[in-house]
Amino acid sequence: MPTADERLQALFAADAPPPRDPVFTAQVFERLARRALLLDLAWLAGACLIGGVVLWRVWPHLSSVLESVALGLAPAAIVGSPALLLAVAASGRLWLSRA
Amino acid sequence: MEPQGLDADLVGAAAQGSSQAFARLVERHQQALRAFLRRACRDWALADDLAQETFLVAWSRIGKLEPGANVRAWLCGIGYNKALTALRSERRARQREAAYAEGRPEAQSPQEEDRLALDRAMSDLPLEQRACVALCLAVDFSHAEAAQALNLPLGTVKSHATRGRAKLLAALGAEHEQEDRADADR
Repeated sequence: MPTADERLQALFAADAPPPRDPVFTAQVFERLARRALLLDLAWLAGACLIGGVVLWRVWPHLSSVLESVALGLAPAAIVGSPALLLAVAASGRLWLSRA
Repeated sequence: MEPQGLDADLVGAAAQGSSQAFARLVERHQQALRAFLRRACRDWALADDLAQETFLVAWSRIGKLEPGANVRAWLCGIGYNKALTALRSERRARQREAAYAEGRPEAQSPQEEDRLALDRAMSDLPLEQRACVALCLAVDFSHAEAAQALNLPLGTVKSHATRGRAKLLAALGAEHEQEDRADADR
């Protein structure tokens, strides 16, 4: 008949979790990933909020600057956009001929 | 490589952001942490949940761990604090569960009776004493390691472990004596 001490050790040993439990490890990493995602989302939401507020505050000043820049860039855009279009088409054709 | 040295290397790599190193640490110490929390909480699902939370906290604080620190004692310390918080909030629910368990018919096999006696004796121990018993008897921590994990003086841990063990043995012995008496009556 085992002694009380031996029975105590046997009971503790019987209740011990396995040395390595892949499910447990996977659950830990799932929770880590979920928390990282939530932190990223919170950071992104905060950044968007701050960006929106800053843009709202500076928009009256920014809009006039953007208008003047846009007017200055208009001739370049008229010439540049067909050139860019042609360059993209030519490079695509070249890539297709090599493939 | 020495386990402590391997831990130090893994902690260093994990602090640099290596999730593979952290996974090795989780694999190496999950058994000790889960066994301790199971004994401290008496609720396996809660214990595993707390063990997972412990590893989440460990991942965020691993950069602050001093070089050469005892990792499993550090993890069990975090787990113990989490268990304290959880158990304080669940004390009332546990009292209701205990009252329910007392009213239930007990299992017949001697091993099951031992298990129930052990559970009852563990739940009767004060939390600090239960944590010392769980670490020193169920997880094979040294008294010094347990003192470090629980943030208690070494003498207190030794005294808690000795007294707690005596209570558990008495509970198992008493159950055994009752069996003998019942057999003799038959």
